[in-house]
Amino acid sequence: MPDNAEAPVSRIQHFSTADGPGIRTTVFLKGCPMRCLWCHNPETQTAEPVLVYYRRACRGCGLCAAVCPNGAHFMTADGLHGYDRSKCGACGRCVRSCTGNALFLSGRLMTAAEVFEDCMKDAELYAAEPGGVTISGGEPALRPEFTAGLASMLKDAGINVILDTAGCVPADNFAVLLPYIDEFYYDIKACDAAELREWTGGDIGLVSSNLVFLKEHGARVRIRVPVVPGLNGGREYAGRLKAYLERLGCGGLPVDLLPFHRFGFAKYEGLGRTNPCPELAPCPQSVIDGMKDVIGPARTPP
Amino acid sequence: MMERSRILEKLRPEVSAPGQSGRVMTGYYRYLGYREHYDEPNRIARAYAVRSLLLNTYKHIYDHDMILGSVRGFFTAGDDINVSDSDVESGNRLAASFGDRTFGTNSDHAAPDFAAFLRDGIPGTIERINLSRENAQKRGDATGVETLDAMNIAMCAFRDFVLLYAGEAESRAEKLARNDPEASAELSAAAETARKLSLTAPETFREALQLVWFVYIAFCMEGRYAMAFGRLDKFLDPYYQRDRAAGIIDYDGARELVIAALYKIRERRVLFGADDVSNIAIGGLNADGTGGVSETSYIILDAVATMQIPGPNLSLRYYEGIPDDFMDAALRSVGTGLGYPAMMNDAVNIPALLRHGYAKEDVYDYCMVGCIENFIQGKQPPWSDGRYNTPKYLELALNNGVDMLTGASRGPATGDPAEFGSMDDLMDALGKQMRFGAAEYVACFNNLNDGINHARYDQPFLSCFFDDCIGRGRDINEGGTVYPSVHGAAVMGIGTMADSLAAIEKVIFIDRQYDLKTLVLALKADFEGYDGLRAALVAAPKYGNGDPLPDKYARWFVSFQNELFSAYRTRDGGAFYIGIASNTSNIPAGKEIAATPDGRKAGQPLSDAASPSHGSDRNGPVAALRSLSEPDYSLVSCGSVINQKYSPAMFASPAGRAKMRELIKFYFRKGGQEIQINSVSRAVLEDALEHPEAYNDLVVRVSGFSAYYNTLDDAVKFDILARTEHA
Repeated sequence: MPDNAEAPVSRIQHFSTADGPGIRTTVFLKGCPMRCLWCHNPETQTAEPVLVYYRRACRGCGLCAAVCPNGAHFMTADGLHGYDRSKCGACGRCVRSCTGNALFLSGRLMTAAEVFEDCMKDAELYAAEPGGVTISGGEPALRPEFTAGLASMLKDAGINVILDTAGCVPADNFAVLLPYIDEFYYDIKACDAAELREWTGGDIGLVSSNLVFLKEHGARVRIRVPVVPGLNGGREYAGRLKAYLERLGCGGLPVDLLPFHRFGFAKYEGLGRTNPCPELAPCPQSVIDGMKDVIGPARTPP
Repeated sequence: MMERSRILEKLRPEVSAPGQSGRVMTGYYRYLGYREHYDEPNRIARAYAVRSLLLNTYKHIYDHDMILGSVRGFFTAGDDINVSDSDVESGNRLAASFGDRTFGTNSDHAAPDFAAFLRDGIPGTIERINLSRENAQKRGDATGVETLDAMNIAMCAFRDFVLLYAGEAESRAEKLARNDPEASAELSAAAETARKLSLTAPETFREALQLVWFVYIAFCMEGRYAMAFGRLDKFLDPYYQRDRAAGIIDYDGARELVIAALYKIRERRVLFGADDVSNIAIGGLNADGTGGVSETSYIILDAVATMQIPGPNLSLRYYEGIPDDFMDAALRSVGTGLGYPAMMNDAVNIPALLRHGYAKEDVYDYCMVGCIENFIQGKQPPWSDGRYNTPKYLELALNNGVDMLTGASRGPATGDPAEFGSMDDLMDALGKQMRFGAAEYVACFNNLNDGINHARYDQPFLSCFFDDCIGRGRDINEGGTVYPSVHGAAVMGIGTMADSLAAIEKVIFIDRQYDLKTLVLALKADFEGYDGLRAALVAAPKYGNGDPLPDKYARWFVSFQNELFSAYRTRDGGAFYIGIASNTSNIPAGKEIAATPDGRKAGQPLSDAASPSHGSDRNGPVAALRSLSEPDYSLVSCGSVINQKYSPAMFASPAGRAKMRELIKFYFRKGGQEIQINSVSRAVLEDALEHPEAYNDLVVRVSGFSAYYNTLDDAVKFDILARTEHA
């Protein structure tokens, strides 16, 4: 696998604790074919670099305005910070000079080898509390060359690799990835073609066939369901989900139910974008517990 | 772990009740001792002052006391003392003229030799004093005779203090007999324990703990503060094991007793409005190579986690091979939001102390006093430390010895920085400024310390607990202890310095974007009109991200500070340690300093303790810990402080705690000295919601990732708050 394949990386999260067992590093790639209404990481949807600006953390020091080559950052007459996204070239200079940690650049082109090197800094920790690297996004399966390149290097180094995917990519991509991935975390967001299209823009045909492909090729797969009250939450939906998986012959796979949270909301503001679904409410534990009952406790981790 | 405690529920309301009349009587009672003995040698008069204090102060008994001893005796019991306010005032004044006990006079922040005192008990200690007095007499050592007479007066007074408590407990037990027979019986048992302690050495866990607590209370009555318990688990565990084998105690019973004693540390908060910092060191290696975690270690940890008060400052001495289960219990305690225990690395602290020539068995019994200060238990005089504002010397090096804020000459003339052609030239000037600063610091401290004439500043009671004051017949202030006094220079601003030097090297000497002359003008102008330069300085690599450039300067900083202070000695020949733990002094210290080359504006706080500058560690906790373990902390013999914050959710499950445990082990393998973890409480999160400006460095673990709290949307903050409620 080539280790010079490049991909736009949103961020590399060290000491990540919720993306698989043990101590892990999660690599978030940019670019996603889906547009989930509840997206937690809207900054990863596009492949292009984008500046995230958290207005409330701004100290008004004006250093961004001093370094910005395009005048995207400016100070108003009364000393307040202003930002004109249309002028922003996403060069990231302002990020390094920000005194309030108010700016974040999502999207730096990195080679698989560079990402590998960064992940390996924590190799000692992956061994201590058995963990590894989770490649997430965005949709990492959109970039099979890069992802397989990174995963093969990790595999050679004896590091466990989880791929976090929503499955909405051409089947060939999974054929490339299959030999290098220890476990697939496979998102099932809906179990009906119309719902999936409406909520995420995804194609359920691809999602279903890729899941079956992985299953048939002996891949280790764990189903992940982001539970969004009002959409796919509740016992009734859990029953449909179960039936859907059984129809695909995947009824025996472990299922994680992930409660929706509103952590992505601030990012829409930071991106200067309109939140497509501001009315979504966080998922209470009771909904998760009810769904666990239906799906069966043996298949859900504590 | 953290099960319901009956004694805590009973003691909590009693201990939390407000104080009495508010008249502090301790000075007056010492005065009563002095005035009977003006014509006697100073040290004898001082011993009588202690005696009068211990005998006269009011012996407060709580209805639910299991372990006797309270600092409520600072005050009058009510209106039963027929002394006018002006008498009390003049008594206080007179007592104060004999010298007040302060941190600067090596009077507190010490851990007594409890192991020896428990072995001998009160009668055995009096016997040792008398024996040593005979020997002193034989060899014609008049000072020794007089010193031991003073110790004898103090120790006999302590015995009477214990007996007075027994008497008070008995009469309270009688009063309670009818209405609360259970409490009455418990008080009678406590009284019996106290009576027995006046006659023999302790034999049971309860007796040993009671004796330790009486000593602690007596020290408090003397006006001492931050007196440490040391390796409490190590010297109490043999009693616990014996009692348990005999079937007279179990884990829960011992935990109740520990709570019954330590919960009363909260009295100081109730009565004086400030917490004591009574350090307890648990775990740790023994000199024979065995690990020090015993069942008593778990009991103490559990008691502290259950009480949820800041007073007992619990330190965990970590060592390779410490049971995972013990670390798990410790992290459960941390996760309550209490933050205790702080974790200390034996693999760094033991070499840091061995360097000073202490005997191996003494070093392995080290503990902490106050916050994190390393101490050779029972073998050296009380601690002292001061603050050394290092970034000031960078300011002077960049301004030819002249203070940028005041224009006054503060250091040697080290040349016009415009003439510096390289980083080496600047480092040379900085070294000279710092050398000067250290000399000035040491002169000031030693002058203060020498000003206290030891012959007139005897501490006869304290001396009874420090090896080998009794054997030598010398007061603790006059060379009685095995080792001399040490002083800790708390060097402030490692993050500010590492970042400033890295920024100068990067912007001025590598990128050559600006010159030093411009930098100095910008600093003097507090960057007004120099946004471009300031932006470049802020963009330079920062300490706490695993970046080699600032990390190099952090390494230099630690070894250079150690080299500077190693050249000096305290008045009795002890070492000047360096420490990197300045509590909150980084804030006032920052007010005295002009803008710094890391981009910090004038008057802003310096970096805190050994941590990176606020908010500058942007690559997560692992990268931060990697940087923080770069300097050689075995050169920091006093100790250091690293604060990290995690959300309580991280500690809620065994899997989460295992990850934290491995992160700590990783950091300690890399050579980290100390870490204290704040599991951010709901109260803090709420306050941060109201006052975001005060929480710029607050990092919360949101779900699988960390975020600066202030970057989160209000909706998210409320979500986290809602979850935290149940955590």
